[in-house]
Amino acid sequence: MDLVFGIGASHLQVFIPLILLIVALMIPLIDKIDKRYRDPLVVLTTLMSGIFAVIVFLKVLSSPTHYIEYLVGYAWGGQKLLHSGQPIGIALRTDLLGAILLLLINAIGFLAVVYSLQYIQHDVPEEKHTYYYTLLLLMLAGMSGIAITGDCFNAYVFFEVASISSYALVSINGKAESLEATFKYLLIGALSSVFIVFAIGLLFNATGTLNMQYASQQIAKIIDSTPGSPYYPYRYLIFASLGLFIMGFSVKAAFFPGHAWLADAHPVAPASISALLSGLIVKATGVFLLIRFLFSIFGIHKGYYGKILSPLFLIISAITILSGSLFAIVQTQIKRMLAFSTIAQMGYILFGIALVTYNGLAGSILHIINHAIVKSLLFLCSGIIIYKTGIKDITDMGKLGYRMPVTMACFTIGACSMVGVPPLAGFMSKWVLATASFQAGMPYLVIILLLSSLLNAVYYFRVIAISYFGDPKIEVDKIDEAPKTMLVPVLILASLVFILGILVKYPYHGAALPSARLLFR
Amino acid sequence: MWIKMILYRIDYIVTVILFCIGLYALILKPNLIKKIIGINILETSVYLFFIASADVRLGPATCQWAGPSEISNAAEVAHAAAGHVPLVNPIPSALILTAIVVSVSVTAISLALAIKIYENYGTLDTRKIMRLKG
Repeated sequence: MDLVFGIGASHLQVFIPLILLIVALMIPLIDKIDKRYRDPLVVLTTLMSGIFAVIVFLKVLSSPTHYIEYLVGYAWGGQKLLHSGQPIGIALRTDLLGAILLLLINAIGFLAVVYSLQYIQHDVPEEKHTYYYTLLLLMLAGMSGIAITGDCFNAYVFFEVASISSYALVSINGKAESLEATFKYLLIGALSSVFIVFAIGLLFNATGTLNMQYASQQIAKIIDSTPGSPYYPYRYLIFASLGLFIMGFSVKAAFFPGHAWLADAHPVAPASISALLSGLIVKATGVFLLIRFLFSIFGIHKGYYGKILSPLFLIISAITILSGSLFAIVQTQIKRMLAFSTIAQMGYILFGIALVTYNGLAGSILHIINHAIVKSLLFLCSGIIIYKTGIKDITDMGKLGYRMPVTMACFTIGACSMVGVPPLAGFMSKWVLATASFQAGMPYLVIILLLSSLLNAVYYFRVIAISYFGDPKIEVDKIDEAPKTMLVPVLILASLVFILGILVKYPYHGAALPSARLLFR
Repeated sequence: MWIKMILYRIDYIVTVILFCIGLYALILKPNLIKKIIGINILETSVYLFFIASADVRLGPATCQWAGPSEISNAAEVAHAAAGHVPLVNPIPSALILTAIVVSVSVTAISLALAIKIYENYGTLDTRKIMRLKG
């Protein structure tokens, strides 16, 4: 491990959460001094962290090992302070999966901030705009921290920073239903975080460390030990800890028994926040950390935990996919429908993890990338519709496609990608998942993927059909296209859906496969 | 004999009892304030677990200085050779300080939400608040 005591300019990934945190806390002050500086400052900060994230991603991608790691630690009289052979400090380890997530968070975060400049004039009370930006930057900082850390407890702290600011953001417009949804989200989030701290405590007691890499070596030692060896009794702590971690992160990732909060919390938030919640929060605080703990720390791919976990995950993912899709069909509100669709898509990601094969994990990672972009696109489009017309029900959207051609074209691209129309990004990740399930010797599971695609088609094509061919319920003549600061982020995301679909070899062979290979080592 | 075992592990037993009380309050109590108290009891039980596992002077060592890894620090070798049980581990206490800050912020935001909910709905009873179906 490369030891660095203190932070230097070559450690760019540290600066991303650092800048975001500092600016987040400066915004209320700046707002007191002069209101005009606030918006440019927020845009510049997220732009800068986005550029930093691109540089970090390229650095990680070009390094031969596909990860950068070092320790922010202490030196005592010129000597490193050791704790039974390992240096004391907080390990920061940005592997390729973390770098992908970092790039997604900061890129989509920047687009969401640009989109917010106009959008929150409509949906958030005037006096809360400052706190909106503060919380938004705190949330981005928390998620960026999750992506770069190599320390269990540090991951938990950033997890809480992201979660708590997301609770506040969901309830920011102060309406009665958003308060209720937030309280539900908060209770279940607090329960999941209690499980996670408990699991970290058990892990610490069993392995004596919080450093993820060192913990994984210790776990290998404990699980490989035979009865009678001093390591042997600790295996029960490891099993309990793994179970608690899975429970905690499954709730955050909205897998089947703990999915109810998502369908309430995501639709009531402002659309820019819904995009970040559905696109990033469920991935950073849920699926990413689940992958990190299952593979990097507990070593599920080494066959340590018998044959229980994989079938369990497959059953949960099948129920999540089908129930999410079925509930989405009966929804009348567009944002609620998109939230249930998110639940179904999280099931896809779990499906790839559950196969516990190299290709399945690569498919999951590809689906994380694609779904983050596509779901942000869809939520931002629905936000434009609400901003311009106030329409929330799908049945009221008649003839909108002719009055808002750009928005509805982008929505159509996103919807087709969700359904899995071939040249688009969503098709590619489903294809990878399907081939992975063939290769894992479970071809009958492809039926679930196909059935879910069919259900996706039912509810997404209904929206498209109504918006182009339905009868208008409201006066459509006065409606025109949204302002440019809202359209440009949507257009960028829509073009990304095309690019990542057609040039799929770059995200797949360039990023998803190497990061899966790194996790499988 | 079993009384001695229980006494040695009394803090872990209290942890489990507190965890169950907190879970009960969080899930089954209809009052929002009681739910918030439930979260706090749950968190307290986990903190107690951390602190109890750091103290190894009583009974068999559940948490050694460096877990089941070999002792490498010279001071620790001398300490072990003298027949002493390892010292109290300082790391869990440091972790719990951070976790308490987190729990304070969760409590603060949930109480603020409870006030807002009372202003909007006129009640804190979840059975009367439930409007969303999710």
